[in-house]
Amino acid sequence: MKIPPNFKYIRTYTLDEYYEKANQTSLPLIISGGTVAVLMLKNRLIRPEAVIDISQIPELNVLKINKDDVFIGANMKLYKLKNVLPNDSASELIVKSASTVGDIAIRSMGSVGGNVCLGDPSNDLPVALTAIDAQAVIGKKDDITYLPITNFYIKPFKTVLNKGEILLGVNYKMLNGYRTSYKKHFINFLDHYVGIVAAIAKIEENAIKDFKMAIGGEAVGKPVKFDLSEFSNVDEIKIIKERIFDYVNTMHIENNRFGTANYKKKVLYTLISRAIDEVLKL
Amino acid sequence: MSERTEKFFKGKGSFVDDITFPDMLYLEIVRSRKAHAKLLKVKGGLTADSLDLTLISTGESYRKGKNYEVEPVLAKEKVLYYGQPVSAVYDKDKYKAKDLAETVEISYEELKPILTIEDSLSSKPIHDGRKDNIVSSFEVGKKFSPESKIKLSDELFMERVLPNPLETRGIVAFYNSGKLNVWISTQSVYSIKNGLSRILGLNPADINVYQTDTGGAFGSKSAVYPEYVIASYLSIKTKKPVKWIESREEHISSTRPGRGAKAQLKIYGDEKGKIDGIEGKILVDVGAYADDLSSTSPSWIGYQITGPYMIENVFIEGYSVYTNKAPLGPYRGAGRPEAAFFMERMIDLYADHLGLDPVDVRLKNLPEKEFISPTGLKVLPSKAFFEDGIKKINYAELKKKNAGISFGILIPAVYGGESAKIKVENGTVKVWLGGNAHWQRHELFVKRIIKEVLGIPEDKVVLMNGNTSELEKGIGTWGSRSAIVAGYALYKAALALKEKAEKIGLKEPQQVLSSDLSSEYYENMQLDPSMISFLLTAAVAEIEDGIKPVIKEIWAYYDVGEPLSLEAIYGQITGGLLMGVQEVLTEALKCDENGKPIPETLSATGIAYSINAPKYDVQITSFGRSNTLHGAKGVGEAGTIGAPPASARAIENLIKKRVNRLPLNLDLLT
Amino acid sequence: MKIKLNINGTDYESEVEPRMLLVDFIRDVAGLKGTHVGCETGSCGSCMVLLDGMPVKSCLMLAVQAEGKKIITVEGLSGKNGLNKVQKALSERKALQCGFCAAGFSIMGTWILDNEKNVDYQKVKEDIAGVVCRCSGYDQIIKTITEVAKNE
Repeated sequence: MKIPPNFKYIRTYTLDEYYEKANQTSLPLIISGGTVAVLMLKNRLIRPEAVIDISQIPELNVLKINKDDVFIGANMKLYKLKNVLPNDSASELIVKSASTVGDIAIRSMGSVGGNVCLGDPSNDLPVALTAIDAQAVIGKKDDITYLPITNFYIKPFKTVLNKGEILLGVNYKMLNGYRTSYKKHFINFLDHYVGIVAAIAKIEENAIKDFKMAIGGEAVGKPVKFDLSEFSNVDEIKIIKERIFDYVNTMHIENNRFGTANYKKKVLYTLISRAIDEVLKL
Repeated sequence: MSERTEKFFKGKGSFVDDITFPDMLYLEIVRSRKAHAKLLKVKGGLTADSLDLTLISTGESYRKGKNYEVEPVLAKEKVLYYGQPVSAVYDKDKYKAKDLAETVEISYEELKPILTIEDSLSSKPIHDGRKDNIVSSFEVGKKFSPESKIKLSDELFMERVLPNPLETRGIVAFYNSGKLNVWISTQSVYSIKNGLSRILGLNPADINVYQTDTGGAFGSKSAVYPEYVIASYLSIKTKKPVKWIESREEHISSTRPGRGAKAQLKIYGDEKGKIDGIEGKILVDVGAYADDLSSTSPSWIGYQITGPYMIENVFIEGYSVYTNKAPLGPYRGAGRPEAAFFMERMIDLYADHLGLDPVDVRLKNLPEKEFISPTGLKVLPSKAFFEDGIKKINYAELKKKNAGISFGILIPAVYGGESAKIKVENGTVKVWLGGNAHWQRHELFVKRIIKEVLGIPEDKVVLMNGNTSELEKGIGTWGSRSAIVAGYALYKAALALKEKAEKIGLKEPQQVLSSDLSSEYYENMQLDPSMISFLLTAAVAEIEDGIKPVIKEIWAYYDVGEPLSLEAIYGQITGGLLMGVQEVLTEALKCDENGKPIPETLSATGIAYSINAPKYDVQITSFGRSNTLHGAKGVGEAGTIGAPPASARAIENLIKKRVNRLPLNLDLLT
Repeated sequence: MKIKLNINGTDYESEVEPRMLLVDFIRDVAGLKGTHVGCETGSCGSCMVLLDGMPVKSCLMLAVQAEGKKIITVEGLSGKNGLNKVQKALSERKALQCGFCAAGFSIMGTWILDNEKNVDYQKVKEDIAGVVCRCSGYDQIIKTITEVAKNE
């Protein structure tokens, strides 16, 4: 049977307590919702000296809706997002993304932090957050850093977080009057997504005012961002698609158990095309 | 008596993991992490070397007279598949048992794993003393020299598929006072009893096997696996109850998968659509060890390759071959879906070549009267059935949706017959059947038969779980047999009880209910062509966004003979259809280049979730009664026979590329 | 580590290892066998319980994470009056075959009834996507839950 190895369990109630315990522990594992951590423990992929439960830390349980931006604490449960986030378009894209994670039971347990920090190319939030230029808010003792989410990921399953550091949450600017699209393609066998695409765009007076897209998934690795700045003076959907397809063509995509490079590329083209149509077609 | 599943909603089921005894030991099996290797060192736990041979046969005596290598209880000197049991540890605490399992040291000298049928045929034998990897070979039918105008060949392949019942395997063995009592999730308490008796050298009279509530099986819970032997052996040694519950990971690596069959076929016919003959090779990958079932699988597939058709010339060479994979077992259908897939795909190839409607070609090749295939298969004429079915499923409309069609037969595994026992006790009629229900809802036909013969209301009747101490002899539930054989035995037992009752003046059902009468009946049965049912299946596919193939609709027009229970039948059909569909799309047991199974979770095996379910349109009919008292035919495996070829064809119609390998190669969509 | 969990309104207190899974606490410490282990990776829903009213997969939780919360298992859905609406319907309609998924579908079905509005076949089909039935092909289960929800 899959049974976790033995570990000490430490429940922390404040950030300072967390920093103290994390630095005292040689190999700590953070647990918030647990859908990621408990599975890793059951698979004995990690044998932590201590599991540090951060689910009670108030700073991680907050949602701050300010005038221009939003801060979602890392402990926020995925299913809650649709009820608590504001009505702007950036939030809408996050909600679209979060509501496709697993199933209802997974979303009721899983946290934003878990979905952001694992670094699995098949995770949903990182792609949506990349599209809206969100920032990872990283805490360590006496210090808070705001890091663009694209810089948060080094490679699959590796983020910049060091021992003693913690993802406090994510921060993003609200966007108004944009259209959003979130598309992904699942390979049943293998629990993974070949491709994930998040897009957000603003049309004003029949012209493209702004366009942002991020792609992720197993075929891509850490999320890649595309921006309107690359397309200034271009307002033809066809050309935008071609530009992004060209980029996909330069990507090193492997034949592996998830599919052939040809199939994966076709998946990405299709998802990108559908997402662009959804946010730009008049 | 309440509806059977009511107790599960109250949490009052009795599945094998629900059973606890004081001082119970939890067994953990330590398994090979290599697909092919010499065992240099195994340190820790119970190993092949530390088995007390006075208590257990390691396979040699069981092997006597067999032409194949039987799986040993624990690997000795070599491991031949990833997941093969190497050592066994136990503890009173199940968490500690897992920790203990990690302390077992195994070191290997790796050998090259043989992982495909092709490699198997061209590689050194994986079993010492054999000249090659061919377990057995057969010829079915008769060689012929065709002079047909049309000759078409193709190679077809169905990847291995895991049964994956929702409840994994499990056993509790308790040896005390000279008796071995076994509680087990199973399809046949008799299979288990006979196997344990033979391997442990125990007198059958000293073994009692009790079927716990069983959460599905689909073929995986009939064999006597090493873990069952080890648990029983350890209980004999320690005199304590020993529990072993399979983890899903273990099910994926070590429970017997099914399918794994390849066919290289040639179809011969004229230019008008009349098939002259079919010939070729059928090869089955039986894994690292064989048994009677897996070694004869190619001949069983070859035997029924002609399906419902009248094909005068058939010659099939069958080979079963060893590979470094888990031993093959039956998986819902067990040879029938393979035969149907192979034949139906060849007929579509032939019809396409001639530019004829695939349904017309099929109808044209059905017999006008009883037909005996060169393989010995006897089938009744079925043209009226299929013509009726084509209308009933509105083929004309389905054609516009590019539907794929399949014709098929279901041959029930009636051989061996079945037994039944009825005991009236405290105002309740208790029934035991030799075949142990494990998802089929047999209680529904049991209640009906008792009502029909004895007039006793359904809520006073309960189907008990399998139990060798209540019903001494029996066979098992598999191969779509139970309605026919168990239903028949129950009918006879009920008639015998009625006779007994009348002899002592009890004529009214109420009087019988207040009695303490009992009766038992066993009869062997031979396959009669009237028992073979006919299956018409149609599937409508869609390639969503050009990248995701799905089956949107599945239509079934199935012959069930006299339906004993409509509710049971409907569920059996839809369940089978979904399994058949999923086997085409995503469900398969693949392994990596080292022979390690790729799926690490249940979802990764590609099984169907609710969102994968197509729209079902199921129509059942009685195309003649079977020649048993009750007239029923088998139905359990029908969906898995009909759905794969229909689904493969439906997708083929959309992508305009030949689909001859399952699961679907996604690269065909590019 | 001593923990106290509230299951179906009753407190269960026990000395357990931190690594004890919630499903094992429910089954082995509280002795409630109706919740099952099917896959151990959160892929099948056999281990579903309600935690503060939300469905969770108890095989993916440490028991200690459930402290201070209200746990309802399949046993807690039926009350003095017997099975609840969803369970009664699934039983009467004979929607389950082997029965191993009873906890999963009754927990999800009950949650759907209590939380979802404008329920139709398609909504139920999507909502139960986390619970596996290997026997039936799902059709009867979806139909039954949809009917019960529509009649609410």
